[in-house]
Amino acid sequence: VIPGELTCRDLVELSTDYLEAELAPDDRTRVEEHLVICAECARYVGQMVRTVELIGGLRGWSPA
Amino acid sequence: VIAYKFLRAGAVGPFSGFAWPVPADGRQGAWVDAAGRPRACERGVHACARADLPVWLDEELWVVELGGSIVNARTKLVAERGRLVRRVAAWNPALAAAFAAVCAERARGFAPEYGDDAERLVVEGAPATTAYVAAHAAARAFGSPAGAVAERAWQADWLATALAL
Repeated sequence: VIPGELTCRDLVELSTDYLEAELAPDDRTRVEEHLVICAECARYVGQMVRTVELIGGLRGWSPA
Repeated sequence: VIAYKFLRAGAVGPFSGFAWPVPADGRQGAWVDAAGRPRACERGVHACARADLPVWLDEELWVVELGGSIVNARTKLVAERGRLVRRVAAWNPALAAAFAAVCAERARGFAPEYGDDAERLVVEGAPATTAYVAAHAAARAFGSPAGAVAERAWQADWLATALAL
């Protein structure tokens, strides 16, 4: 690994903070650099985004 | 300041999902204002300098004009406002494949054990990852991260020449 780069394991650990915009700018940039070159991590984060959107869509829903 | 921005098909920001106003009728795209001082990855128009083109490869490449205050952040430029000036039509699937093939060849030259992975990535249509593998192969060959930095610089020069930037 080149200094400053993230591994896939790093990305998984940072992904929640990334999606909640809690990362420092440099870390956020590193996450995005990794997402460009790693299709698996991009898919993983994409699935998290969709999950968050779905949960958001369910707010206010109640069983009949 | 003139800079560059890779976008998904349809001039959509790869991380923000923002649909950029595109140039039309011979005029540049409308200014997009970040409303406040730029802060990397939080607020501002994000673009990159020529040297960082290989880091951000995506489907479309645009020349952008940045205005207001501009912050340098690692491999990004973040500005108070920006607009799309023109699409770089030369960045197309054929050139992306040619770039990937060159990177795979260099990866094998630097470190033969990286060659098969790099060539597989060419077939899969992953130029950004192929370029990344070449940078790592260079670091291995030179026994130092400086090898990767030098390879990224070579890649940026290749792209700038091929795209007449």
